[in-house]
Amino acid sequence: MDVTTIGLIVLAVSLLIWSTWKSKIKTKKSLKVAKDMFKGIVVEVISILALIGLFLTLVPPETIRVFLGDTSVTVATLISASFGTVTLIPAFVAFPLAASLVDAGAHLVSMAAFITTLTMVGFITAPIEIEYFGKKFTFVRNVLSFVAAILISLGMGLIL
Amino acid sequence: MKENKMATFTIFAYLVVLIYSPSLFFDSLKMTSMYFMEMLEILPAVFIVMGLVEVWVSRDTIIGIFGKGAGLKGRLASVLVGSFSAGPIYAAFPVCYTLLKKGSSVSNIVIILSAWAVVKTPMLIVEAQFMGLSFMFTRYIFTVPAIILIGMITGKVISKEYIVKNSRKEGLLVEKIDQELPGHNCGACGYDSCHDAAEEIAEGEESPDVCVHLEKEEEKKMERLMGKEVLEA
Repeated sequence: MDVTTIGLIVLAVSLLIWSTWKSKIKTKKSLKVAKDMFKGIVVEVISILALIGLFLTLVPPETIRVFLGDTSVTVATLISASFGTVTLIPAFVAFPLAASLVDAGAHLVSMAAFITTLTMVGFITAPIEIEYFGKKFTFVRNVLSFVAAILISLGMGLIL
Repeated sequence: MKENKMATFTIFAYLVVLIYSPSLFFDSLKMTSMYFMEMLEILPAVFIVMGLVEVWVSRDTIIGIFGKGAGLKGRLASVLVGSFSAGPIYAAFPVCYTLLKKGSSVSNIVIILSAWAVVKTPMLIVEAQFMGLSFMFTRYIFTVPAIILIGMITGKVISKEYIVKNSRKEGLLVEKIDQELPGHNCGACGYDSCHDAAEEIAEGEESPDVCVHLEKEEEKKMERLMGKEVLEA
């Protein structure tokens, strides 16, 4: 568990205590809201987590190394960005992987694209996003984020 | 319905893998349980905080911080909220949805979502460890303006009305309100059916008291469904 997660749990518990002290009725109401929110998402999230687990077992993130090979930076960036788009990997797995890819000769620029699309663009989470915000919103946000990821990584290439 | 489809598909995929290769099946389960634990650590806490926000924080406060008129301050506040978050992007969807319902602008929602995804603090710490400080800083400096821009463009292209209309979560609300209505389809409210009236009520176009058959108690319940009493508080 990282610091923010612990911080978040502490925050939730202390707010809950404060709320109970102020008004039991309102606290009950807010817990009901929380419960409904949880119920509204939990089946879908578990299904998606299971799909990610399956996908990453069948296509381990290390496979990206095979594709990166001797390609140019531009192609490698596009490949990395696409790989990042279809998967969802937590930071504590993604960064060690990116670091090892850099050691193996991958360009920093393509790793920036990989990390940005990995977290910001989500094929696999799109069904949940659509459920909350609709198809057009999901499409526009993900396409813009993909383009931004490429631009960010190219911009970084100019500096690093 | 949609949820069940997704779950069915996942179970089917796992069965295929189980038949094809049991060891892959168990590896996948192990991987999934790791993600599952991460979810359990984060989602309940996030939702408790959001439940409290929904009940205690007034709509005006949210509009003031994240609304259309909040300007640059609103954008920076959005980056900040996203930066101090925990958990993967799917935890951000319900949070942003709640904020949107309470008066945040579409562009600020997108900024929170994006910041939540790419520049949250725990991620930056891990990033600095593995990729080096200069990599982390450079990425941060490019990313923050980029996500503000993404937010502004999305806000221009997508209206709040669109989201309210197309969100299936709002669809759930319509169904809930429909259940509270008597279902006679008497037409006294001016709509052809109770469901039509429920749609208008859910969108806030119509007040629950449009229905002549509702008791005060039922009207109250309906307003609670829509989170209205928070407005009065």
